[in-house]
Amino acid sequence: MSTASQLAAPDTAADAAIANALTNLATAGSFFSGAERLALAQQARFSRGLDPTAPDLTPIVADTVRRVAVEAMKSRSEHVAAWEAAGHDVLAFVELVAVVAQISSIDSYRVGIGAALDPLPAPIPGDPTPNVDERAVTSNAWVPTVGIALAPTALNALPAEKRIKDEVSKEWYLTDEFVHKYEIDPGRELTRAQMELVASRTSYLNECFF
Amino acid sequence: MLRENSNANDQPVNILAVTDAGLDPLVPFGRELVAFVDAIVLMDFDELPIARQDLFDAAGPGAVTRAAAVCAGFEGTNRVVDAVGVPVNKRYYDIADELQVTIPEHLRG
Repeated sequence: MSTASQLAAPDTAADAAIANALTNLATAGSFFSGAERLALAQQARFSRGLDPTAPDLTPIVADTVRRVAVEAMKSRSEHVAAWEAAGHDVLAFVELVAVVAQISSIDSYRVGIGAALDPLPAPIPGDPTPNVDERAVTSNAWVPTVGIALAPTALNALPAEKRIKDEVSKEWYLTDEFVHKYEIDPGRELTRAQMELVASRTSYLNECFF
Repeated sequence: MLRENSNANDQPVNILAVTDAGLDPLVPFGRELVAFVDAIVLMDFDELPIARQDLFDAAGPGAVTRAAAVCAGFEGTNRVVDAVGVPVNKRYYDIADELQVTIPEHLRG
């Protein structure tokens, strides 16, 4: 009898990208310190039932993480307005979303292949330093983006957050450049049709229309 | 994108299987892939070992890894686009109708 993780082929490129993403989670971002970003990640795990311990966060931060982690489909513009009314920068909201999405996707991968969750690393000392694309403005979404908001541009007001998400995504799926080039064989273990079925079913279950 | 890929490569696919797991997607190992995705996204730790084993038996370890990877990537992307209010592209409205899903008003661009 094989163990769960023996049923999945090793993917060293994905593992390396995940390791880099976890280090990034532990490093100060534009608005949150490394310790604060790790607390957001822990809250995401707690909200999904993957960690028994809730970190010490303010109610609005804890609730925002919970919503993004377990019921993002219920998000509304009013939630972003409440975030700003509580004195938080809208781009700090974007950073929170990036952190929660990143750890949630990494955890889903580990759960899927039957591996243990990655331990959250120790925080790397340092203060947050804004790394913001000054061209970002609010257009067709609830947060600023550079250009119109689409899936690939949703985080691009914070280039470091977009970069790290893209680095993991390209190992798991496809680079943005090839997402809509259906005539190109991605050379993966699944055909393009199989991958799109997985993607579509995932989005359907998340009540997401992307 | 499933429909667009099907059209571009002249491969049959039953897109209704996206919303009805009882239907055959007409994609190789489609039923096993759907069951595996369901177990991951729903965090069904009773069904997950069965679904993983079934996919492994049908398609091998590479398929298990890639399916988990693609699912995981969309687990992240779905959260991002919904949390920041990226509107649904109008070109997907027809497919939503075909799947009998309603695009919420707040995501109509």
